[in-house]
Amino acid sequence: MSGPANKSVPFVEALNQQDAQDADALATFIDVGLPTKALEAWKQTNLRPVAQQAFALAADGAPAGAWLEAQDASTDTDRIVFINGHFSADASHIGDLPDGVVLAPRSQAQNTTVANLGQRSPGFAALDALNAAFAHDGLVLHVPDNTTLSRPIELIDYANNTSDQAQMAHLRHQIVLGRNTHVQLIERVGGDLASDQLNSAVWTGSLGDNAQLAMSRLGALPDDTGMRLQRIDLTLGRDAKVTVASADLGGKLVRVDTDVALTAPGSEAHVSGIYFADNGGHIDNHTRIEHRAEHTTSRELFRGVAAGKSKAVFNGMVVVEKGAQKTDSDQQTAALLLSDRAQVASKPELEIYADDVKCAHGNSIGQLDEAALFYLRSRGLDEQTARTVLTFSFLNSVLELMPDTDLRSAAARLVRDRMPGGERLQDAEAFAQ
Amino acid sequence: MLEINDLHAEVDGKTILKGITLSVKAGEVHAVMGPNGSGKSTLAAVLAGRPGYEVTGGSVSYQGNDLLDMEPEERAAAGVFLGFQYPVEIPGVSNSYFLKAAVNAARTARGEPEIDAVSFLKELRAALKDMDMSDDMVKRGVNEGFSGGEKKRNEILQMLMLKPKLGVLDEIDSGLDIDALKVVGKGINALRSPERAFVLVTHYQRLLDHIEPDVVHVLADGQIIRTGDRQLALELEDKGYGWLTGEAA
Repeated sequence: MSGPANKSVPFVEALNQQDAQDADALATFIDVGLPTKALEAWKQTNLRPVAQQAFALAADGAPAGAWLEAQDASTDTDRIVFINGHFSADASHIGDLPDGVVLAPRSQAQNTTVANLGQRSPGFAALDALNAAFAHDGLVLHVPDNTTLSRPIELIDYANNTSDQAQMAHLRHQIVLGRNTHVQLIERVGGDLASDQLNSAVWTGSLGDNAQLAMSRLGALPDDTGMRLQRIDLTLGRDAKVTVASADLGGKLVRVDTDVALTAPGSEAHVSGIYFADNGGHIDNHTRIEHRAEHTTSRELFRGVAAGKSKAVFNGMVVVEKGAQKTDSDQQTAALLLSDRAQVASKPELEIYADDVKCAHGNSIGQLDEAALFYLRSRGLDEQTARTVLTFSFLNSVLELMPDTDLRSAAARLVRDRMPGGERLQDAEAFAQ
Repeated sequence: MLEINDLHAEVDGKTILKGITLSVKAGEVHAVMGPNGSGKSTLAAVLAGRPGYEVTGGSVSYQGNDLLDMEPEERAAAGVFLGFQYPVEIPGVSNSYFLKAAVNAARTARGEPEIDAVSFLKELRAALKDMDMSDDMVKRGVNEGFSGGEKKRNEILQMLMLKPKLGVLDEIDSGLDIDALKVVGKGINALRSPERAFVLVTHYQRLLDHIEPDVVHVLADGQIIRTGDRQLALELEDKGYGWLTGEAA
């Protein structure tokens, strides 16, 4: 489907060829243009706020602002920090690593190439090209066979814009995990933004046989200025297992695509996420799980809320290819509308080409349970606290799937901060012990 | 303590309560009995302030205040406890968090400081023991996966922790086996005191074997058709509701 492409728009016209790292990718992007609502994958997310502005590529050397300063110096992680798409050696620290492990910003890593994997997610192809064109840095992580990283790797993707101009920054990450590897990965996204900023990030990763990756993500961008387009693309080998748990808790326009290809028997994807859209923000989660081999398993659980005049989107595609018999897939999504001006568009999609499979899905959108609300109030909780308790618990039950406990607590605090009276839930960690 | 005067109420436009007058003094236990559809549960719901029940006439005064004018949380703050016929499951909110929030809401309403963790745990352990409940049950989500009997015991556990002045218990005995009924009865009896009053809404006389009522009312078609002492309940057990309503039981 080719809609009226956003080619002759300020965003595209303002792109500076001299800034491009990859001229071919830029040519591809300019040829295709920004996705429009005519594309199925972008039906619910209008990129107009991006299209209608000129974005200057952010320069190196932006300061560490309040948000970055506030990130607790996690005691036991290897931390790699990017400010506006540029590696910050000052803010990063990497400890001793097992032999053969490469963990470095791409700008400093030797002999690494980042594959162009945009074709699998047609809705993201143009943005993948945009990212490839302008990203000159990112994380490179290569873990050799039979290696376990004892500390989590913590990537901070920080946006800082003190100017009155819209700016953009791009990162392209690559993870290659060998056989029998164990890796924990954390991604923190935030910013201090006086003006609009668009950050894009593309993760490509492959997991060798029996590899395990646990990825925890927390994104909390300002609702009036923070824009983010992100794609995670992971390919799993035999008996490999990935967990991706996300919390997207703010932003003017946030789109996260999480794509996992289960290419060999025994591979498993556990993808979960919470979102909280408010203050006119827009948060869109798209997932695509491809069962390409028999005996593959996927579990998806997403829950979110939309408050005020915000919009949230979830789209979960599950593809079971011919021959992927004994696929076991389950996708559950639920959303709460906290105001009558908020919108949620949630859609499961199944494409099944095998006949001996188990594919379940459930999808609900609604308001808080009135019976539960009355029950809490009849025990003395005031109405606002009762609403806050129920909303928090709705999200928290999914947040508990996040592998990294520090990030989970940080996400829980941010959820509480977004709710009236949330500060009264201080001991919310005791919620569901 | 509680003065119900000519109370009329409807649900979905259908009149259920057709003039209930009832006076409960501190220290008393009143049983409200009646056949299905008599309006028993509607009476309990109206006293609790459940949404969807419209009071169309009469008044309810609690300690001199207009109870019907109070929000559900204000009623709780004033010391009214409603035991639910069907307690709600709230996955994701642990029972212990919920209990602590409720206890602290009650203490705040009384102008007392929030309870400290040690005292809370001590009270909770004692209440759990009385209710024959395991520690594990307070860590689970509120009523999550509880059996019918466990939910009812959890209601009484909450009441033991909240120490209300007036307990309105809606069919707290339904779905209980004899052992659970004893435990529930014990919990209610433990709270009986000259300052407290209870209204027990029940279909069956057997609850009253465990909790001796001071006054028994029989409700039929939205009105109290007979008031008596415990003897009335025993007679009902013997003869069935048809004895009073003039219909076959």
